[in-house]
Amino acid sequence: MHHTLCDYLAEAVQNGFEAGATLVAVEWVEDAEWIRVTVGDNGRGMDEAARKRALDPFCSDGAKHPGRRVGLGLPLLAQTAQAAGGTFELKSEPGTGTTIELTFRAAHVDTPPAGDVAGAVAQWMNLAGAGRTLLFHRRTPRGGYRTDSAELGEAAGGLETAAGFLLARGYLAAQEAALRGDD
Amino acid sequence: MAKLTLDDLRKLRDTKKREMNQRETDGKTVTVIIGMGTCGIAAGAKETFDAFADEIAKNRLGQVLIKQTGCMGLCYSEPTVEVLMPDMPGIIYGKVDAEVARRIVRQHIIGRTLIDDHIFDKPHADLVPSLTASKKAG
Repeated sequence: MHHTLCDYLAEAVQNGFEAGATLVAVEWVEDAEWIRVTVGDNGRGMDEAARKRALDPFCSDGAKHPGRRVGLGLPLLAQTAQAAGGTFELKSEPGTGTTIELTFRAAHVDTPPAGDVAGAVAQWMNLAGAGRTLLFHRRTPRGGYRTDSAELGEAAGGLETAAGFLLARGYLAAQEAALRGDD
Repeated sequence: MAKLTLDDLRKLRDTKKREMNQRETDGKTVTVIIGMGTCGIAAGAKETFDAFADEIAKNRLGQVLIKQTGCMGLCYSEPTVEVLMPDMPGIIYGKVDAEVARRIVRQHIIGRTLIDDHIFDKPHADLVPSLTASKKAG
């Protein structure tokens, strides 16, 4: 269903906000060998039974889709990381929040392409909207940047207006271009 | 390439702000809600989102808000988009690719005319079992 890492991460970010989180933090660290991504939230969290159900593709709580008997989000994400020589770890406690830790071998043929990082992060920040925060931290061997939706939203004039969204996306695209060393 | 700073962004914002709001939507807020669930993204909702942002900005519609939601339960007609504006019925459009998104801005939001061949309306209660159940229970 998904083609890029950003598509998978979009789902993890949505899950965090849907779990009542006011803060979702995405950290994306790359080196020559590994891509490591962590998505953490301060949402309602899961107990051990719920964590097991979340990783069972033939299980869904039916909250979003009454009558549906499959829940593929996290199982497919875990499978994708493991197929790419990486790892998947889910940590969650009720009342504390949930953290997903992913690693992918950078050069593995099954590691999904990153996708449009700037466009994706701008859309996640739009999803956060007012009153919730999306933190994003990216680090590569060429450098890194850290930003959050509250700060970027203020500077851009609001992430829910077209002009503000486009400005924020442009800002993020400039950070990505600097990481690539584009002229 | 030198990084763009947040102060640079604030200056750009002030320039853009003067350019926007030149076309009024009767002084009232319009909300475009794009379904960005797994099914929506798989069907191209990211491109739909970008097309709305681009076309709204091009038409200087400063009072249109773009928001997101998860799956609306109409996976077969993704990408789906709900448009809410004063003096118009709330409409859910289906199969909204980038071109249809631009039509929605020009025809629905500016022209106040529905795009008949993409209307899915609100999901009727008999299409959503939970709504049917809650109605019976109520």
